[in-house]
Amino acid sequence: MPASGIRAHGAVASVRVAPLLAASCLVSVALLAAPVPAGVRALVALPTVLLVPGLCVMRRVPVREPLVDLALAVPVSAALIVAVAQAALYLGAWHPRAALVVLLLASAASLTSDPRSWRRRRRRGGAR
Amino acid sequence: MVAMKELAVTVETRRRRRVPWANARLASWAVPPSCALVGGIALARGDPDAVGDLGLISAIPLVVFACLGLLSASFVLVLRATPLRRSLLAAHVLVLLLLLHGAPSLLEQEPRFATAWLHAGFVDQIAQTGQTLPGLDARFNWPGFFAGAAVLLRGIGIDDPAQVLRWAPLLFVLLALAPVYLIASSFTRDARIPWLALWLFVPADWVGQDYFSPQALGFTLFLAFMVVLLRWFGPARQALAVRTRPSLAAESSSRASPTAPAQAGLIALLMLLYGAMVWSHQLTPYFAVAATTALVLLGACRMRTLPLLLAVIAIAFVSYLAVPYWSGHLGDIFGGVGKLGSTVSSNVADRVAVASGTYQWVPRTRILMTVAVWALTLLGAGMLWWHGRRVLPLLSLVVVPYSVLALQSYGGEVLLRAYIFALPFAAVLMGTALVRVVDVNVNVAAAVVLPLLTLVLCAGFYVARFGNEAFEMVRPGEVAALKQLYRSAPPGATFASLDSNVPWRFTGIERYDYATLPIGPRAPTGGYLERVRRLLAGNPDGGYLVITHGQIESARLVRGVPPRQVVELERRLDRDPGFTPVYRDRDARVYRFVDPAGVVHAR
Repeated sequence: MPASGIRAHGAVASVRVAPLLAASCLVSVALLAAPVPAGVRALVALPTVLLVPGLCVMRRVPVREPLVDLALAVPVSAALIVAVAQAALYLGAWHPRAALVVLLLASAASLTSDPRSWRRRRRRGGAR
Repeated sequence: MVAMKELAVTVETRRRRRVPWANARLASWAVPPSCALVGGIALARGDPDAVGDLGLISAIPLVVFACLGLLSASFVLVLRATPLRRSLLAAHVLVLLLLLHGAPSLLEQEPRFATAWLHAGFVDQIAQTGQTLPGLDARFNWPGFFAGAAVLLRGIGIDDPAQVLRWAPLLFVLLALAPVYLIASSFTRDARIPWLALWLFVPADWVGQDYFSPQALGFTLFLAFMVVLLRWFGPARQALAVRTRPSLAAESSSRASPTAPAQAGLIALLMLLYGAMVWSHQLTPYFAVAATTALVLLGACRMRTLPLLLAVIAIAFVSYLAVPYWSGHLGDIFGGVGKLGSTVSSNVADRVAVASGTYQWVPRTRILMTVAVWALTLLGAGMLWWHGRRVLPLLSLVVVPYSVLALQSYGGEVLLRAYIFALPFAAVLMGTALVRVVDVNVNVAAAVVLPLLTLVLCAGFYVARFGNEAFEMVRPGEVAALKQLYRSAPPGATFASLDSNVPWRFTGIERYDYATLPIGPRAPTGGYLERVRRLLAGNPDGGYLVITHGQIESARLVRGVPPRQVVELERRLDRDPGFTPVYRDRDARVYRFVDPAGVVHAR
């Protein structure tokens, strides 16, 4: 049994679901770039942006309860969006669509890497 | 001994299953969708013109109350069943949320509340320019929410924020539900208490801090912060357990300390949530600091240096990144420190005193709702104390938000903020008090007491939450008038109104001057018109006077201005050669001012 209500892999963004989430990020990026009506874009991109970045973070924070993942996904995504927006404001690089694309691509990249293999690599490195 | 206990539980379970209407549990699966459908359609077909001096409740169809009664009776049945059907309980809570917090979104034609429209204007300003205007409005010193919303809406290409404003309140309360459940389950092993806490949280959340605003995001982040803090760095879960039947105990979950790398990850998560809080809202971080400090002082939080770290971050932000806010306004900021009496007065007594007629019942209902929540909370705390449980950590989280009252009045709103930040924890204690009602062996008591209490709370919610609807509702004609005004008015023009309750500034907030000249209850109309004329004549770019139905209702209910005063004013405006009507319908009138000397300022 892993220690303390915690395990090494996100409960919601599990190995099976991660590719789907990564795909939704890539589809959203494509929709952001394509000349489609705002309603269509919002239908796919809005839930993706509000959920997936948070789930990616929850995947790195080793929590085993799916309800906790779901409860924190949107607040954490919102916190990330605020952080990205603040950075864009302070750096004088105000490009809202580019900021969303960066956030979505970073989420997709994070989802395609397996935190367990990352931890195993780090442990092996530490042993040497 | 253990075998005897198990036998007792089995007998108890069988006895419950013999209850005739406990068999109706199966029918409960049909109740939430039916209530959502029937109640939702009834609300969507409701008449917004029926909104009266008690607010939205006058326009709520009776069938919605029937749905709420049926829903609460069904909720009690499901809550009494063993094992608990969590998905069914969740469906009940979601429908309750829809029928209460979603009512204006379904019933009204335009998104409600002028301040939400103003916030859309702040978002529009950042989205268009990538710049904040801290000199124009203090809220720009904490631009996190507005900048985040600007990235989201502009990035996706949503130019008209109407749908966002309409559904934001429902979304923000929805986002609070899972954290409130998790917070409640952090304190108890009785799986019913978190559900009761949720059931009571929804109608008790009447303070209206959930509209499209920084404080709504701040509250969401605060709840997420408290979930992480309480579940991994907080007190042991059994601390508040009250005589739980084994069959109703929550699923066991190990609560030992996280390992060092996990702890580092969780601290990083806390800092991310807190950082967004600090950037988004001026008051929320102090509630987080107060809650964390209380837990540390009571030995209920393992991270003893956390309050200091949080306080340093908040003070550093204000010191370096919110300079335009405090420079020159230190008197306003610290003037209220220690003046508890005047703060309470500006939050409670003044609000009751200004109301008149039937409308007086709105602030009175708010006070009654607050007292009811406090009474149930204290009852729950008293029961835990009586059973020898450690109640102080949870009770401290209910009490510490009110400590902000000693610092400043926050425009007469700090009591509302303190109430909402205390509510998630108060709901746990309220649920603890009421779980005994559910446990009562006489079925009728359980079937009557909780549904009746729910119905009373729901009626109270409609009055307390949407009691100002006569003037907080935004009518279609008002939006049409203002959109036409923004299309036609030259930049730099002055817009004047009779009352501050106008859903304007949703675009071009820096392009125009805005002024409110409050019309008095007994002031001569001619004198008032002269003041308007002087104000508008002073601007070479021209001026407009905007009169909306919401302003007339606000002036009537809040300041006691008789509607005939406004009718007389409009009659004089129509006769005055200086004012030309440029928009007129049942909801709004807009007059363009033309200088009497013959110089047309406004194009």
